[in-house]
Amino acid sequence: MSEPILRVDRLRVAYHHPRGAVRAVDEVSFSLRPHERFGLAGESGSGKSTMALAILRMIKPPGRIEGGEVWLEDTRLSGIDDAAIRRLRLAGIAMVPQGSMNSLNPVVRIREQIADALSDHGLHPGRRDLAARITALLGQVGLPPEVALKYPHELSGGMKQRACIAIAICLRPKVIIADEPTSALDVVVQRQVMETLGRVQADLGAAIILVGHDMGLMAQFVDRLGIMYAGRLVEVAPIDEIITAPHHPYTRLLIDSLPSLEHRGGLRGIPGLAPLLRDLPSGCAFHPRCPLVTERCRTEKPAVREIGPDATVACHLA
Amino acid sequence: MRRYLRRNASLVIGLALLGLLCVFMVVGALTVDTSNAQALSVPALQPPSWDYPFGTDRQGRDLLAVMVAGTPLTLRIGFIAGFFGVGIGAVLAFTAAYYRGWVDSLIRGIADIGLTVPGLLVLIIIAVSLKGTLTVNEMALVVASLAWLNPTRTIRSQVLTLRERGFVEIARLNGMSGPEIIFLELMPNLLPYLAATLVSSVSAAILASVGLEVLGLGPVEAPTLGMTLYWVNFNAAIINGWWWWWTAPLVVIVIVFLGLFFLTVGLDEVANPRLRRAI
Amino acid sequence: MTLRYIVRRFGVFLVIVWLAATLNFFLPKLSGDDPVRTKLLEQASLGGYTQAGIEDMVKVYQKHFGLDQPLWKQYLTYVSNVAHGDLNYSIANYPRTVVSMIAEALPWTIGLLGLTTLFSFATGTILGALLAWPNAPPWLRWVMPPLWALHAIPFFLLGLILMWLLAFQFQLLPIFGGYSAGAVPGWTARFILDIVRHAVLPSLSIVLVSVGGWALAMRGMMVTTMGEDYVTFAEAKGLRSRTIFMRYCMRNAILPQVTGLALALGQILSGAVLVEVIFGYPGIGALLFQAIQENDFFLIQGIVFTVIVGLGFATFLLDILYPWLDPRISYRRT
Repeated sequence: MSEPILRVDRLRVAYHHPRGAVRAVDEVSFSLRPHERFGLAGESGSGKSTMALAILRMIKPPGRIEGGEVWLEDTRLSGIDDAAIRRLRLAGIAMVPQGSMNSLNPVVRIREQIADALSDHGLHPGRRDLAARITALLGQVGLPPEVALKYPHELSGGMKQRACIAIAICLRPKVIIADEPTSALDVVVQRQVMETLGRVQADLGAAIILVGHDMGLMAQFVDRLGIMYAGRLVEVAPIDEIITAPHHPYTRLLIDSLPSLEHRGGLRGIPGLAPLLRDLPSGCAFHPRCPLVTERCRTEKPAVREIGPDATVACHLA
Repeated sequence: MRRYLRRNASLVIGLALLGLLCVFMVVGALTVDTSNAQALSVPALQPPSWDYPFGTDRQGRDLLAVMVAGTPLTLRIGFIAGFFGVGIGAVLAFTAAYYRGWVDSLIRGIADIGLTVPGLLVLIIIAVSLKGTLTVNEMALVVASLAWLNPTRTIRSQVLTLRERGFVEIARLNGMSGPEIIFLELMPNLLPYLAATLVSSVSAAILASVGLEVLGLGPVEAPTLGMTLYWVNFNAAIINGWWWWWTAPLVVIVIVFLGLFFLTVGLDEVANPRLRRAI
Repeated sequence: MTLRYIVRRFGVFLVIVWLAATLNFFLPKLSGDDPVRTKLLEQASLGGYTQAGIEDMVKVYQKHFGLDQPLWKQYLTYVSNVAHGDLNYSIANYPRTVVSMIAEALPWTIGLLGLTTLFSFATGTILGALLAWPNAPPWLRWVMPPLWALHAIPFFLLGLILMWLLAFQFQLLPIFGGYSAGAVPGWTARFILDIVRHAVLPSLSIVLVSVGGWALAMRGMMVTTMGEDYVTFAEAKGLRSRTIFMRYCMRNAILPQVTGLALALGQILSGAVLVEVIFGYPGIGALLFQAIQENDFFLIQGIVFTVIVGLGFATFLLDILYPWLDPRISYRRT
């Protein structure tokens, strides 16, 4: 196995409210290989977006990174100063944001939103070079050169999302974190965006973390999938394994809940609601909803165990 | 409740300041002889002393009596005009926001144009046009004539946001008529906001009335705060060193405005749970 | 920005002008009083004349001022006069025209008001923006509470306090007027300095009160803006703090601020009028005060009309400025 390009080691993030601390990310560990497509799936409130922000060290008060490490190749991200982490953003790890609705500055043209990223990272190409570079970038994501002169409100949802991707890749990052990039888009546009993302990732040779809750999308796109529940990474495995033979009961229920074209029948969901992070159950956080729950599950929090070369699971019964 | 008061410091300060004024007015009315607020009652130009705690002015008024008699007058003008303003403004705002269409365009157009014009100037024209000098109540009506402009606009935008919410649709489907929806559904939801608007409207009305009075357009006989300042200006009290003459009304007006201001901010926070972080 | 938009806003401006003129004409008529007669009677009682000659004088003046015509004819004459820039004669200062008196006073007010408004807007906005920004210097936070408290009181009240404190007690600055009584007007440095010295107190009264308001509003807008998705993305892009502050936060937060300026112009002017009265500053406000004292009706009318037109024009300019700041606007606005 080649050296991982990104390593997250027992990361802990908590939000401190007057009514108590909320553990949004609880001892999460995983590694990302170069060129790999890694999916991070979970319900709303499972902590996945917080994870993405934590990797970029963008957690703001009252949130705080309480412990653990993030390594980008040889660099320990918690050990570098603010200026250094700023330079790493976009150039080393780039984020494609959620909700492309509002991720672009409404009063600035697209061209400038790419240019300011370049210039704040120390690149000052001449006017013609800049224009050529921007046209090339837009071309990579399938957008015509005219888009550069437009304002965000003049673009459709899919075009805005692709513009965001163009910005994200302009410095050729090693890792791309795509946080629910297609959540507000219709299926046709979704496919276009995902195709773009995949193509761009291959061109750059970057690794990508796809954060989302659409299992179908994950199945089509990623190499390896991690499942988050209540702030913990409860299972990680190659995508084929997870779909055919999931180890964690939650994963099993998630896969089962996907409607299939072959079998007709009622829709199956997962009974109960995801717990409030502020008010987690004792022992294993999933135990109130787990069909295989035992006494041990109620009292003892399961540790994360390796069960294969690329797979881990956090369950007493796996 | 107490914890909320501690968070909403503005509300507490506002109420405290206004409360202080009320105490002053009530105690004053009971202890001070307000007939001394008329001219030629007492020796002129006395600095503050045991007999005349606030001093006297050039026309022989006991300034303490003037404050005690005048503060309620000024406040009364403000309240009448403020209530009028919010009353009319609310009716217009609800009508415009609920029925939309040309009614909305018309009302909003008038309010917008009216707001471009500096209110004080129109009030001046009105005041100057009226025959003779004004009484306190007439003054209130003059100020009220323009006081509805701002409340109409602000209440209208609030109602518009409420209107988009589901319960209006449901009420309509239930067969409630327009006015019924306005009074039974929309208005109760906006009460805190209406209260905040009322206070700020009163404050604006007091400002307008004091402005008119300082220019000499107020009720000349009445010892209101603004008129006192008019006499201060007229007699060049500052240059002449009669500091007590303008200190009293100044302090009272400042307390009135600060009190109303803090109260507005406090009520705003009650109405708007989207809390802004304190200073 | 479309031509249609400009034309439309100009149309609104013209409507305001017409409305102002009309109101100006009709409101006074409601009282049924004849301004000329009133004035003459007043003069007469001061001078001790008898009644007999007065009526004849009144008739002559009425004819001269056009007051013996039927109402609709008066109105049309009035509108046509106004359109030609003729705002009639000043009753109290006859034969001086209203226009000439206003023209004398107007530059003072525009200077005072224009400069103070721009200055307080700029300072307040920057202050408010910095207050919302976590990396701002901490001493700024101490500046805010006094400014915030000050902004609750009217300009002229602060003017009184400052006048007493700085002009009377400590004798640092002149008490009132636009320039010293014995000074020779002209473009000399000495005279200009004199003007500046006299302008300090009125300006301070306006600025110190206004800044708090602008700062408070801007701070609120900045806080809202800083929570937007595009600011999060800007940070994820690794942009420098200054770039995010200026281009992503301020650039967006300033839009409602400018709207606020357009709406506040009327109030600022009203406050400034009172400041001029207190300080005897020879601008429109003081002129208005004098006109009220002298019951000079045409002058009052003329001033109010001029002010409304001026404000309407300023609002028009801001309206034109707005789409330039916010590219979303020209497509949807009325």
